[in-house]
Amino acid sequence: MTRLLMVSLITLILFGCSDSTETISNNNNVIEVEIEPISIDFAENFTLTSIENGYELELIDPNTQKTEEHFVLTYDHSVSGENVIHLPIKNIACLSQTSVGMLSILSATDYLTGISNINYVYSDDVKQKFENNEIVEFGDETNYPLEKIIQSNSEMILYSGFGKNFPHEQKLLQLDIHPIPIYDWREAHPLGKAEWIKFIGVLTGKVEEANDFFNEVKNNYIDLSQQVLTSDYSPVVFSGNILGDIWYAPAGGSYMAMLFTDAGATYSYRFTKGTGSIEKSLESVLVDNRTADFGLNPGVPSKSKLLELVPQAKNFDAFEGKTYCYTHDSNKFWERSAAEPNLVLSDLIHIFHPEISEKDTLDFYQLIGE
Amino acid sequence: MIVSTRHKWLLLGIVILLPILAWIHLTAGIISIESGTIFDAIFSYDDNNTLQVITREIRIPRMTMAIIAGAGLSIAGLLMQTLFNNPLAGPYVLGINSGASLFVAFSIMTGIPFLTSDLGIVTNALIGAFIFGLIIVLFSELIRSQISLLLVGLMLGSFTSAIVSMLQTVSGAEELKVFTLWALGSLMRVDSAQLPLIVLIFLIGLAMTFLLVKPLNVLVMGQKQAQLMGIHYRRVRILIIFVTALLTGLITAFCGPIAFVGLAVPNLLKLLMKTQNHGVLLIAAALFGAAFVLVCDIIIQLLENSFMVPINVFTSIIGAPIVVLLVLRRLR
Repeated sequence: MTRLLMVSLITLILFGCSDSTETISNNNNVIEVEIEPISIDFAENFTLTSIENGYELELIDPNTQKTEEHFVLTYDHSVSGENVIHLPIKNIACLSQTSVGMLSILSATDYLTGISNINYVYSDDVKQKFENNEIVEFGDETNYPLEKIIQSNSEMILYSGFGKNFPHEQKLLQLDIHPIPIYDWREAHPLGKAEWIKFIGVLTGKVEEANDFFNEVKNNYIDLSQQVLTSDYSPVVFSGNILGDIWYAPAGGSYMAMLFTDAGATYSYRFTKGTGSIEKSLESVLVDNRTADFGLNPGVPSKSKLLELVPQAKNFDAFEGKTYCYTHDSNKFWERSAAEPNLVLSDLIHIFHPEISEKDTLDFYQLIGE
Repeated sequence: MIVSTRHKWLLLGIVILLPILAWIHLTAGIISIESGTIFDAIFSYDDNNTLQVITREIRIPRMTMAIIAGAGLSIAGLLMQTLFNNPLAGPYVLGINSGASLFVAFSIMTGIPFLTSDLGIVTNALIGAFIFGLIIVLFSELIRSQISLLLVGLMLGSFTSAIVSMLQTVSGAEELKVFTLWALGSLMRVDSAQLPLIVLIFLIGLAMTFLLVKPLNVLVMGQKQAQLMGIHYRRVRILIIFVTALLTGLITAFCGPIAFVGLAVPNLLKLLMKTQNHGVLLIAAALFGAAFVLVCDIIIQLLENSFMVPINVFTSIIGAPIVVLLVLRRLR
């Protein structure tokens, strides 16, 4: 709290309350950039407020809905402080695949300096840069080696926030490397996840491109969800997969449940609470979904693999020809789907309502093979 | 075989108790299933009836696997304890499970179709368990201390974990997922179609076990005494390792690693039965072991409404304190 007050005070003293859209004067320490106003309409886990020479970033803890961290992102390099980050960031390590995807979309992979594991990367551009030793692989995600982080010359590390501090956080801060938790994965609205591209846009100095991209995605998403309202048919859908005898399915308020509903389907666990996942026994899932029209996201790309995990899967009606998954190319899904939920939605509409779909091929999903 | 009246009553009690536990196991769970449905699922199966499908495809295989896992691991534990004359021996502690796990990891992560089939995984688990059993026998020749032998078993477990971790880093995402789920341990990864093969292999292992009763009774007196009494020690030892590998490999292949059953149950039995007659002990290990895992799984089923616990976690919660008590008892 004290830290938050101090940062706010510094912000007030140093920046005052000027018009955020003005073009700032150029001197030795300030980069001349027009600060574009940013509105955050769907994301709930961060806010960006434009201030003179930059933005104030608030990261909100999804569990408590309180501010977890507060940063001043500024083009004025004369300002310093623990929570002050100078823009633009030219060296970013992205340990979450969604952030890598957003950098790719904004054509900013030149700024990418570190990733967690090359095996999880979809982008050819990033793979090529890794081959050319321009990107460092940090490896073991339970304890990223400090040496590799330093070797990467990263100024900032974006990682999936789980409410825990980043390994070696204090040492990294001493080295002026800022680990920033990303909570896009906790957003309940598909467009909320996608809106995190605006944050990536601010970091990389590509605010206009990020805003334009998001607006295009948003408009397309809304058009598609309106389009599906013309259909009277609403197939019953179930989703999820098993892990150690427990079936994990998206909760009724989750991102995936919202996509199913917006795609004109009746999700079998739509009335359950929460924005994460729910736990069910295999027996319950069989009783609730045996005659469901579609099965989604079993976590494997083929029937044979599914039977290895759950031999009883053959008893679901949807097992034969009605089960779809993105796991034939998981990397593509994890890297691109968060920023482009309109494409996920159009895939789902194509699956549930082929009669109204204008798509020829699916972007992410595929009928699971033999 | 001479069986005391006390043992007869104890065995009779567990023989009566076991079908009752099996029936409770079949009817316990979140979904309420009537006895009529169970009979229909067995004798007049209708695959359009979801409750009958649950009974036939989930509950009966799960109950059968609980019995096989409990009986098989307890027998394997008893065999190891007698062979090494060490009450803290067992397939898990001595690394025989680890051998099966390592070879299952190979078969799953290579993605070669035969190796990932039921028969491929069982064969690999058996080979792995047998090889690691032989390694332990080799070390038992070199090491006289019982505790040192257990340490070798633990080291084999650590070694295996390291190799499996290395395999995980180079395997594909799907193979890694299948292996990770397998390693969590489950009694539900079997359906009715797989049961005949599993039951057949288990019965073969069980039959071979009872051929070992006489040598096991002599082995209790020590290796030299056994050899003096005409027991072909080396041949018997290989046979014991093979039977242990067969039972452990079978259970590990289909249920994943299940900890502490093979260690805790035989020790509890010895305290209860107070005999070294392996005719009695093997029957009791099979019956009490089956009852032990059935009870564990019934509790898991009853808790399912509140939270779900994998079988491996539950047997560890119950088995680990028993092992600690045994160690303390020995230290005194």
